[in-house]
Amino acid sequence: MTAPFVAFCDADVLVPIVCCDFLLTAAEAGLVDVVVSEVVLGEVERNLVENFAHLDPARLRRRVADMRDFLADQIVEVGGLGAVGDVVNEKDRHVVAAALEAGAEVLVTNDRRLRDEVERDSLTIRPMSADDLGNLLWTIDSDTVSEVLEALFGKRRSDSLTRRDFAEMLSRHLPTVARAWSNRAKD
Amino acid sequence: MSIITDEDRDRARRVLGALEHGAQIVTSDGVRVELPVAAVAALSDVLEATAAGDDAIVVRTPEEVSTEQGAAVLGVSRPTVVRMIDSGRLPAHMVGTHRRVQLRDLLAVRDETAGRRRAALDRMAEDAEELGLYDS
Repeated sequence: MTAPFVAFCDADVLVPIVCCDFLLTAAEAGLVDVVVSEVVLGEVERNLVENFAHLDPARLRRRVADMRDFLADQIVEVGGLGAVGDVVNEKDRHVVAAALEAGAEVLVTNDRRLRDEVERDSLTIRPMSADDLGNLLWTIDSDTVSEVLEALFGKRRSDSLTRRDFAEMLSRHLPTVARAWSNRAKD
Repeated sequence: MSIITDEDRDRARRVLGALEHGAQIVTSDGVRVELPVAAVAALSDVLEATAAGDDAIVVRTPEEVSTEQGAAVLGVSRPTVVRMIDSGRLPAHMVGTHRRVQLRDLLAVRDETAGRRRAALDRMAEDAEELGLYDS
């Protein structure tokens, strides 16, 4: 039994519903310790309300409240920008600072520019996309990742949703994981 | 590993039944000593395994553990355990320069966290389905 590593998640990987569900369920399974900041959760809330403008904002805020509840022990406070250099764009410096504050080994962001900047800043943190993280988890423990995906699929109430539909939905945000899961089902 | 015979299994079942009323041991010089409840529980587990024909091993759990071990128990990272200690959510004390956490405190936090997290995930999935977020 070993402790999982810290993956600090940027807002852009927590806004897409399937991607967020995957990350949090993987955290519940003990595969990874997903950590965020209040600022990130605020961004998730703003984005959800904007992206689903036709829906009741209170319901969308409730989703973020549930995320906050889930991540109650995984929300870091950020004092200052600390070791984050100028090479990281000003808008995203708080993300990197929070990741460092959290002791994160991985920064999960789908923002390619931010990933490149973090690489260049020679920090101790490894930037990766949500799909890269999913693939890493699959490499570490494909059985548990598979169980996570089965659990997510099992929670869907639509009778007409097939495994193939679910894999396709998954592939929009986590293509490598979706492919690995589909291939495993064929074996 | 040892081979468990049918006779062993029968004997284990009989002793297991007798243990329901507590247990004493009689030392070689005839002194009767009451066994502690925790020891009776452990002995019952061993006898249950024997009665089922399984080998049993006894694992000692320490009363307190390091933050790294605590992290493994909770299924979170060490930095998260340290934050939980700093915020006062998880009691700890210092042994030299290292923090130590009581196993019973960790298990209480683990149980509370697991229920809360599962409930939050279930609500999120139900709401997402109801709102049609998965179809967007």
